[in-house]
Amino acid sequence: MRRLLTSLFVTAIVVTGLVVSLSSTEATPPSAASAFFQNTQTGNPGFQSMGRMSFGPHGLLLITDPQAAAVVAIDTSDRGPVEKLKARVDNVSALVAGSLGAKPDEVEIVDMAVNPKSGKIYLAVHRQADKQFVLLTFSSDGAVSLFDLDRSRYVRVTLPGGNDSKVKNITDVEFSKDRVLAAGQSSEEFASKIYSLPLPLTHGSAADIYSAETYHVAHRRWETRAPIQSFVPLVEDGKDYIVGSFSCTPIAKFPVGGLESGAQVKGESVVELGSGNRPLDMFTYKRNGKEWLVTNTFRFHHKRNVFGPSKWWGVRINMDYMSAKDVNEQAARRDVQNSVGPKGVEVLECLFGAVQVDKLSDEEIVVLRDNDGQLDLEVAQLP
Amino acid sequence: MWKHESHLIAYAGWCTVAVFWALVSGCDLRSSPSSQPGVGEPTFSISIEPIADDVARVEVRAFSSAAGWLALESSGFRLSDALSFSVVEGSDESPESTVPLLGSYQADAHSLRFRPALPLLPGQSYCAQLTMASPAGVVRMSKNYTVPAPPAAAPPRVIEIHPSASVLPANHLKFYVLFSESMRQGTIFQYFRLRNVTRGEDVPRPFRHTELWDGNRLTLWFHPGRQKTGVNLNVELGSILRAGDEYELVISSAWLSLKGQPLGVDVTKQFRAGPPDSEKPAPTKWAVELPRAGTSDPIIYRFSKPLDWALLQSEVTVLDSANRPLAGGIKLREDDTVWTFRPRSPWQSGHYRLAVGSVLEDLAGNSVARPFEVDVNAPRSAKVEDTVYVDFQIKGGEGEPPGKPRTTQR
Repeated sequence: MRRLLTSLFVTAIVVTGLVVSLSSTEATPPSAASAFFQNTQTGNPGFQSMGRMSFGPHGLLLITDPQAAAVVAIDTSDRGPVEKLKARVDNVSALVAGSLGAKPDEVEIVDMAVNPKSGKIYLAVHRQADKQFVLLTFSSDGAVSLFDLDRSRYVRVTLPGGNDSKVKNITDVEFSKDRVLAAGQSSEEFASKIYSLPLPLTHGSAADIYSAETYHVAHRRWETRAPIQSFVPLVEDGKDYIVGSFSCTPIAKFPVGGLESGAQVKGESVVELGSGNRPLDMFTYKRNGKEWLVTNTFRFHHKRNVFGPSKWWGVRINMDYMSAKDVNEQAARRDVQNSVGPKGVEVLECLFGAVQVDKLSDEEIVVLRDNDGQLDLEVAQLP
Repeated sequence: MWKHESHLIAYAGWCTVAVFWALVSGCDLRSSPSSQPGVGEPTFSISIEPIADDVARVEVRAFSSAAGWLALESSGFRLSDALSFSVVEGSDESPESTVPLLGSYQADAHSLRFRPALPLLPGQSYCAQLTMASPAGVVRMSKNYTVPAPPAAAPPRVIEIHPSASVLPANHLKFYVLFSESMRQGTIFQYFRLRNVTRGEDVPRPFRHTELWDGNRLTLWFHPGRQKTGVNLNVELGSILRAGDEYELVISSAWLSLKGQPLGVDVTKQFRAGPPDSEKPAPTKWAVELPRAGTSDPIIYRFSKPLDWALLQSEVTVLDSANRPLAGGIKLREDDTVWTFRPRSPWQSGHYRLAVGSVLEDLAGNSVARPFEVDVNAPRSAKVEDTVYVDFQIKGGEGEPPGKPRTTQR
């Protein structure tokens, strides 16, 4: 009898193990890196720092390395299927810090990106006490894991100047139609740079550089060289643009197609969101035949919160505003006294407290939300 | 504090294993749990050992006298629920953090090993906790490990703050702060404040919250939106500085170096706000003192106002007659109003030129190329090329006057 029970038990364990291992196996698709990378490297990309991140197609993840003035693209091999976060993860700072062997005030969540192919959430985290930068992932059950950079397939593209570059803050990076675009800020002169990295991304290559200047609607002057804080690529009538946001907070459109390296780019302000706000993330989505631009910002100078329970808030803006021509001084201004207005500009409740946000689909976003000083991670619905 | 919830799965898992043990060893599961193992019951222990004598890299091991770890692993239970290694945030007797460190597990018949993915932090205490069910009941044990703190080092220092001038324009834009060693980065703005000494109050939110580090040098910006005439922030809040008022930039003593040492003392930079400055630096108007041929005396340029300390060292060079940069050393004097260049080899008689990058700025962000603020309704001034050249002649011989500079753009 004992032998029979033992056999049954062992069988049960083996079957359980098989089920577990089968459920974590998936078919391996062709390498996305081969289509988008050239001179692909395998191993640890050797980050000096980690800054902004964004996902491109097929699980390709862009991570900026501001200290090295470089953009690293990693083939995460994370191609789905979509399994979004099932339940809110509370107190992410404590979870992240504890996972890395540090106290909550010793880690900084630098940026968050969501892979729309899998729903998996990626955090770039800085362990301040020893200046370690790591990439963490959150699976659908809220479990946190360390992304193994040691065996990653990647390319590293250096911005002009490399380690000697004066650009020490890469404010955003995004895949566009046929290239990767990045924006940067100098640590010396008051300057804004836009970088263009052609596809396929070639390890060891250097980016083209454009300078940028934009018109600020709040005064009758050129907003000379103010740094772009975040942006989204935009193709309009077959032409390439980026829609960027600035610190005070105009949203402006820059043409970036057909330019030569080193060219000056003049932007056009299209929407003004209100002063004293620092833009954080931007993305677009489509709903009921309309396309919307979403951005979350941090309100840094108002003593009271105008809308919502937090200094972090966000809006959606009808993309029709981006098509306006020769607006600048006549750019639409958000009605700072109301949550809606002018038409097509709406404060979003789902972005109250949104410290980090990224798009999961046209229906949902992932939000790292400030709840009375505690950061919680959750999926929220887009209107 | 133990969190039973987080160990439910492990509990179930080890209960299963306990059944397994019971079956193979003949234990009577109906006997009441006891903290002391009986004869034939498994015993457990924990050890934490540095790897290759590196106190920041350890291996945590849980041993059992019975073979059960492999079964637990293959059954799909989370090994971290049985053996966890976490930060001690509260007292040693009552650790608060139960978040296990990330790392790798390896099981064999009698031991379960865990290695943290990242090095442990100096001075930090960690706690290994083992939780499982055995025929004798739920066994819990823990072991603490503290990474020795590094020997007390000299505190970090602020070596220099630029601009060094005691009067800054009311539309001043940025400071360079040089530290003796790497400081903790990521959340630095809590350590800075700007005090209006004249009015006895702090200036609210004066800094742009963007960390710009070059090694141990921080570029600290005033918020440009408040320093630009007519920009919404400037209109609603006013500019950061009021001409005539006295100010104090304060860096908190609490800021830690990367090694964990605080600055120890508040560091201050005192200055008075002068009138705003909207004039472009004009290299053609700089006064020059030319050296004589055959000497290695410095060439000296004097400006009418302080210019940007960092850009003066990267954007101003001397070219020889073949337009090759001359090797030598740059020094700045008199609050960055004087730029000197001493060549490595003696000057030769002949033609030289000073090459000035048009991105060179003054303290208010006015560059050689354009002022910080450009009124688009005003007539546009002539475009300035990327580099402005100031030609000069070096002459030798007794009684021969030094050459007079002339300027060109390219």
